Amino acid sequence: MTNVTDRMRTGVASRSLSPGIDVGVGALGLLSGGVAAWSAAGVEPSEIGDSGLAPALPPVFWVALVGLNIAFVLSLGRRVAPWLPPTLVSGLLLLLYAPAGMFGEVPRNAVAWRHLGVADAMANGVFDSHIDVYFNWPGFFSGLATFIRASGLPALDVAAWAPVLNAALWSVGVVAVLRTLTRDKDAVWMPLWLFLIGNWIDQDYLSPQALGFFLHLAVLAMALAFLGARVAGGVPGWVNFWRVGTRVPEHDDPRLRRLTFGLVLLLSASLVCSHQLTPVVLAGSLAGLVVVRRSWTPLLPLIIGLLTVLWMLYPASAYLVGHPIFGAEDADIVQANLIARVDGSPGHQAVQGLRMAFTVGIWLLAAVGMVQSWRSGRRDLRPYVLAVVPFLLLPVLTYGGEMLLRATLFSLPFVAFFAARPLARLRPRWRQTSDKPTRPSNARAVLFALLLSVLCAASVAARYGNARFDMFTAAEVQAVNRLHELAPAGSVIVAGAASTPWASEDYSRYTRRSLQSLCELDFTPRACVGTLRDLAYHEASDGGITLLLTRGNQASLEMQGQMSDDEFARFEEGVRVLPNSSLLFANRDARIYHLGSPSESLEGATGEAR
Amino acid sequence: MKLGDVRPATWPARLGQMERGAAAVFALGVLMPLLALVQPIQPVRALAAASLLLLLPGLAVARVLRADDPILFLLVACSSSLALTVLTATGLMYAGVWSWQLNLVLLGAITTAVAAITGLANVRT
Repeated sequence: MTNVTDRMRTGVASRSLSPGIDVGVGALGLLSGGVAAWSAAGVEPSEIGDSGLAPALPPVFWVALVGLNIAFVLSLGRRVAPWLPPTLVSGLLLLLYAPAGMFGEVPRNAVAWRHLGVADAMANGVFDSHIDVYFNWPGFFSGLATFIRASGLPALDVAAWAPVLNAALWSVGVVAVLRTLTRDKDAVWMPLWLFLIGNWIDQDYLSPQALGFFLHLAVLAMALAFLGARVAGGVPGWVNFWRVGTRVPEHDDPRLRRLTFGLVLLLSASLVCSHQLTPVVLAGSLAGLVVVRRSWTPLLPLIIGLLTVLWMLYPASAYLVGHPIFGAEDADIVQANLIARVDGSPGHQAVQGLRMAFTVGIWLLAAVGMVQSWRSGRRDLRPYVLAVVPFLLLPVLTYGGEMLLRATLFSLPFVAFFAARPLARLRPRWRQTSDKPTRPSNARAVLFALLLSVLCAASVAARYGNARFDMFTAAEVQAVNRLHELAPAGSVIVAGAASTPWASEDYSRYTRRSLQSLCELDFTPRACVGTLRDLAYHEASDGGITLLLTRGNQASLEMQGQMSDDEFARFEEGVRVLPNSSLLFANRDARIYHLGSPSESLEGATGEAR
Repeated sequence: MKLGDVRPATWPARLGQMERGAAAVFALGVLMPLLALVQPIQPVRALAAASLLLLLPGLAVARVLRADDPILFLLVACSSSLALTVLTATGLMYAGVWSWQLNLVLLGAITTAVAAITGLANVRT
């Protein structure tokens, strides 16, 4: 166990303030978080534009955000009651993560709806690995099925509040991991604060990745706490670290190490059957610890790797045919992970730019922290390895252009650990009178609170930047319910975009497609109508196709630069005038069309959509 | 049996000597599945199910590790519970016998078994 550097200790008052101060700071933090979440609930979906949720939030939200960061800064640089940091983190969880459950009329993020549908299908006895990828890694979904059925909670409520629960679990994991690296309070809670702020990546929804990341953190914490090793008899540097001294276990009790090893294997097994990517990153991270001689169990990453390969070869073999996980991306890595994501309407591009600048800013802070740490004589290579290894897997793993985002998430706890170091200089220095600290130097505290508030505001803007299309109205959900009533079982249903609140029930009953995949090659209205006409012809024997167009679909197509509002209107007009096209349902935010087998007169009709 | 030999304690007697924490987990491992299975009103049902799926089996496991750090203890308890929930549910799915009731009973059995083993390990025969 190593202590944090002198710089982090500088200015830490050795005595705590009176308990009343801690109570006041804690109350301010919780109140700020609660007020922020409550104020977000008043946002109307129609008020949200291309720049996402942030511009639509009321002033009281931003006041609460500043109040929360002031409370956090007032808890730094001195000893506090043990309950205060978790209380303040609860406030931050409410402020950053609860709005997903508070604003809008139903849960956001279409993928969460799909995950509910998979769990529902499994609970109803559908368990076929040929359906899709989810049925090849069913661990998370079978557990979710048990939770929803056993708890009796409404599935949509579970999805709405999953981000708060997941972020809370991640916080426990991050704190446990960081406490194996340092015992300094501020060197643990400041990185956690930065981690929660920097996590705009939005993988904390109801998903196998959220569970996987939590189990990943748990395994790392246990491996660092109980299965670690240190090098006795020498101080290794960059050049000769593998030769100096002797590797000895950090824990002397072999029984405890065996128990931990077994527990880590249990967690790894549940990871392997739940998520494709996380076990690979976990094995890589543990292998990194072996390389820098800080692991007493060199076989552990090999065993996890073997479990992963065995799962892919047997239970997941049906999916892996034609869907390789390892190997180069089809497209260029930079193109798939970065450039392809910075496209679309000006507001959307601004949000994407903010996300990149925000992430790069935290990485730069971390780079400064790494240099400071190294120059101060800290030679603990573990956080360096754990921050870097996820990015080393970038060229190796295919993940649909999302690997950079996932690598950013996996490295974030350790990136935040280093990024907190330079910021530690801004902590308030508490003046001592007699034997008690009284108040901090105002300028330092105000500057730090403002800086954290700006970062927090950027996080809200980045995290909810897609709110215009990834949140849904009750009218859209009503249309989806009608769609399931109107479309014949087994038929093809098509939505305007992937951001559709469907598939939470009857998952395997329909073939679901979206215009974003169907019209991928050419989004012009004429070409897109032609594609739909051909699909309707192809599916004529099964009753044609049922088409759903929603407010969110239109926003998604427009924001991602695929179809402007004018082009969307012309596309819909083209669909409307197709022979055998009929409007089945319409409400404030959605329309449902049925497209039957086309006749010869179609050519003329599609011409009008030009 | 010779004079001076100590007669091994019977199982009920040993259960009675179990340390308080392990006994509490043991009792909850029996009580919570039963409570969830009778489907009482909310939020009792949700709390009973959630405690069994997210906390209790791992609590029994975490006590074995005797982690000093309360955060690490909580992490081990929650992660082990989730892992056991995932593994038992997936196992039942592959076996074609999944039902949430059976899953709860299985997790309750694991909780009581681990709590009993760890609790009794400290009881002298």
